[in-house]
Amino acid sequence: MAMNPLIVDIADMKASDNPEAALITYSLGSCLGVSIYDPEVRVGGLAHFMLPLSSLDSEKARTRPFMYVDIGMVLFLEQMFRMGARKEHCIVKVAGGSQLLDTNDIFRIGQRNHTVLRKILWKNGMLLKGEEVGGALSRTMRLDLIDGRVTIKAHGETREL
Amino acid sequence: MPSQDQASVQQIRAEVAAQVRAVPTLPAMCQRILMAINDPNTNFDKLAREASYDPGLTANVLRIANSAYFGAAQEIGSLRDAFVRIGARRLFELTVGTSVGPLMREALPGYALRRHELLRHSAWTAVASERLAAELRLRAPDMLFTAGLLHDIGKIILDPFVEAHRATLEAAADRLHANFEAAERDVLGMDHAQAGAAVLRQWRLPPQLVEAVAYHHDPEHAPAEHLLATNIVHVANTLAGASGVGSGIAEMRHSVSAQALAALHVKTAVVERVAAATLETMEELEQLLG
Ligand SMILES: [Fe+2]
Repeated sequence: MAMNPLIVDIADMKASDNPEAALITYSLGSCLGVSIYDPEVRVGGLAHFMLPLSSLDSEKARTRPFMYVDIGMVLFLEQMFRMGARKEHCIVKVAGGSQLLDTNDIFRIGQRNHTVLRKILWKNGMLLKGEEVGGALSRTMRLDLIDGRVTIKAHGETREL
Repeated sequence: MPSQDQASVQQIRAEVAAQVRAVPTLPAMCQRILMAINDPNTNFDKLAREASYDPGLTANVLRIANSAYFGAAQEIGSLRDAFVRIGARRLFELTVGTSVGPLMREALPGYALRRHELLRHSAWTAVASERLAAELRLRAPDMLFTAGLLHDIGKIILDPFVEAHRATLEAAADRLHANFEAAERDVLGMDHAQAGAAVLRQWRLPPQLVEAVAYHHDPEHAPAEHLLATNIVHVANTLAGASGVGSGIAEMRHSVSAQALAALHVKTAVVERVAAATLETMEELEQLLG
């Protein structure tokens, strides 16, 4: 691999049109990692969302929109389209949304994140092409722009999504 | 049936105890400030003068004292100033934080924590503990920040043992259908909470810190007078783990105490607001402590 992967922090998104680039995000617990890739123009992005709904705090939604799935996802799509991606070509994949060992409702953040993501994609008429969501584990997600390959690493094992 | 025979558990315990004894001591200043907290007649000028013999520590403490998170409205220029403006208690917390932070920087391969991850998880839990108390409109228990910051210090001690017995530990957790701490007790004869409490006792830190650390995965058995702090650290730590902040192998395999949640009246919106607010301050704090 020619370049070091660009690291996407929690509550952030990075997009690139450099085919040599790779994007990576670590420690996806209940957070959601979402990748979007358009193979026609080889534009891709990776986001690391933390919480489902920006209505929780409208001030933070302005200053850190990628904290929230709802508003973050809308901005993410806009950014991809600005960079030349077309909705009908976009491949969307998701990982994360873990639950703790026992499923106390208060901490079902992962599940709520996932529900909101599906709603937004549905509204936009988009489908998920790959997902690895849930379980009690922490994942690393990587998107390689050369071919749009998404890999998930968890518990020392790497697999393609 | 335990996973290891008694003889090997005894052996591991002795080795762990030796590791605890090998932990570096805290700067003498920590104990001095602690004494000052308990003594209303403390001569702060004298204390500040003594502290100035450790210029590195002083500089670090002042840097944190002037951070956005801890900062007073006006610049704090000296330790004497800090005593007056943020108080001996807060000063104690900053001094412990800046002294212990570097110990938590290293990677812990046994727990699958990369470099800086334990520190990030710890600082996250410390801030989330204070945010949670504020969000719930509780008077924050004494030294809550430090309790949150030190809750997982025992992982530093147990890491080499976890690495050596990783497969046995994961098998034990599966077999017991239990959290990782139960597996630690089964295989290593103690869990990282107990190991951490041993470190804090060795550092002669006050009981509210020792107990909150000792029971952070088991708040239901915490001594009544330290229950509130333990419950708060437990929930803040759960939230850090759930958010994937320094999760490693142990934190997702974590059970939440229904009693702690009920006692604190924690609601979904509360934990989400605490998570959002905590993230905001993290970048600054990690740099300061690391
Ligand atoms: Fe812990």
